[in-house]
Order: sequence, then C-alpha cells, then structure tokens
Amino acid sequence: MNAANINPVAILDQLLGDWASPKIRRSLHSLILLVAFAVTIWQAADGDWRKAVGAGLLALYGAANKANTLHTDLAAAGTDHEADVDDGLSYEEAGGTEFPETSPYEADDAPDDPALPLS
Amino acid sequence: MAVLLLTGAPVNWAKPPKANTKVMWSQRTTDGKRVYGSFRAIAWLDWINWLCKKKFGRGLIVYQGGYNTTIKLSKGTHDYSEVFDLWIPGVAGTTQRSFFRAHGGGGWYRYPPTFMKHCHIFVLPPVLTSDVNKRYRAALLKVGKFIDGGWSLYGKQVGSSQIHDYLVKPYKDGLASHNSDTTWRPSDLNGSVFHLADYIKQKQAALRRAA
Repeated sequence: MNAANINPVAILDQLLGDWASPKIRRSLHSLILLVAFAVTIWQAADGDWRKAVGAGLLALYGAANKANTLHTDLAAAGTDHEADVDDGLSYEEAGGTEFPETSPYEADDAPDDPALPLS
Repeated sequence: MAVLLLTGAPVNWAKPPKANTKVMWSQRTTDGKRVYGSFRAIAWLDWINWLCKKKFGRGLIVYQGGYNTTIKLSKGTHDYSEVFDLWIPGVAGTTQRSFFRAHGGGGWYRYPPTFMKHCHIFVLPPVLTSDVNKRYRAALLKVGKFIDGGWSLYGKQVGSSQIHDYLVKPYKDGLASHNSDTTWRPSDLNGSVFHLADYIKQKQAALRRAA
C-alpha cells in the first residue's frame, strides 16, 4: 500500500478489492458513513430522537445542497467550439505535434449509429 | 473550459491539487453527466480540447468520462479515472485517433457496426517503462481493471490490459478478442506522454500574461 492510500476508505477498498465491484464498494462506504453520521447525531442530541431527527434532516439537507450546488455552472457538451483561442500561442507553442491526418482504411465514411453502444 | 474541484470551484493553478485528486471538467458529457477524472486526466482533457480548437477550429465532446459504471460494455474500463470516450465533430475518426495518440492518449477509434463512432482514449501514465501494466499504480492513479489488468486496484494481474494492447508489440485492438492493430502510433511513444507539470507552468504563465 502506498503512502497516499493510508486512509480508511482506501484501506477498505484494498480489503474489498478482490470480490466487490466499485459500485458495491461505494454503496458500502456510503452505508458506513450513514451509520456513523446517525450515531454522531444521536449522541449530539443526547439520545432525544426529536432533537436527533431535526438535526439529522438539517445536516442531510446541508450535505445534499453542498454536493449539488456547484460554484461554477457546467457547460453542455458541444458548446465550446469557438475557433479562436485568443492567447497568442500557436498550435505548436501550445504543445501540438504533427500526426497523420488521413488513414487508408477503416469506416470513416460509414454513417454513425447513435443507437450503438460506447466502449 | 476549466478544470474544477468537486465543489465546482476552479482549480487554483498557482497551488494545484495532487495529480490523483478527483476533479471534474467544466463541460458535461453529451448525456448531461459530469466529467470526472484525476486532476492529471482532466488537465489532459483541458489541454487536448485547447489543442483541438487550435488544430481543427472546434472543441471536442465527451460521450463518457471516468468514474462511470452505468454503461454495461464499459465495465472495467470507465469505473475509475484516466479514461474518456471522445469525439471531435466533423473530423475523421482515424484522424482524431492519431491526434489523441500523438498527444499522450492511448486507445482506439471504435465505429459501427459494433460501436457508435467514438475514440476510446486513456491518458497514458507519466512514465512508460518495462512493465506498462504497473505504471498507473506507480503514479498513484486508479484505473479500471481492464485498463491496466487490475494492478492499480488490486496490486496484481486480474484481467486483460488495454494499455498492454496499446503499447506492447505486436499491437492489439484492446477488445476481448485482442485482434492485431496495425494503425498508426507515434514512433516515440515515451515522447507522446502528457507532462502535467509543464501544463501547470503553461497555465501559470497564461495567468501572468492575463494579469
């Protein structure tokens, strides 16, 4: 295990790595977090479930709000086609290199079919 | 376009995150999802989009980013970072495949009748030495098990490896059949690798020029 992976989530990931899919691992981490969160709220409310429910809902709302409200709006795909990148640098100065721009074979002229899957 | 932290705040190029920190791009996928990846992967995406506009006069679109497990045929490849399904509208698939390969992207052009047209591209790890399957792990980058055979996730080989198919002769096509692939690759594959530190310096210089 490398130094950057010394955290509980990464260690659990390594332990579960051989049998659990990423989806199951994420679900397990979420479940552990939820249980730990519920215990914390319960203790903070001194076992009074009415206080705990209020604090829990408020915390859940805060977390969901924080996760879903981004500081920057994300652009839709295909809305960034402006040709002029006005920074004064050429393609080569930006790190661009030459490459073959045509190839003698493959299905370039075949119509696309968006119903087909990605890889 | 910009590289964003998970809060949506733009990355501070003067004090950038670690290469393996999970971040996102400021443009969504074609189906509206967020484009996630390591800081190194998203910085590469940002750079290649910038180059793309300079070369072809248009930006690229992302069909699928990293940390995505919703597409059945992509299982084991897009689960973690460093992998994208990309397309440059109006540019021949073979040309864009070469463009990505020339600039630190490994992968293939997929097309009908098996796939919809797209380039399946993984950002090559920073160092390409003898055992290529272990290079993502060495760089602390996590990739799907079929990208590096499982080394970055499990520390051992658990499946086939697309980076091996791409980098090691005789070259293969990265599919389950592992057919031969004779399409163009840069003569110096090491020289094609994306250098994050250089891109950070480039961004810092651009910020100084703009100030």
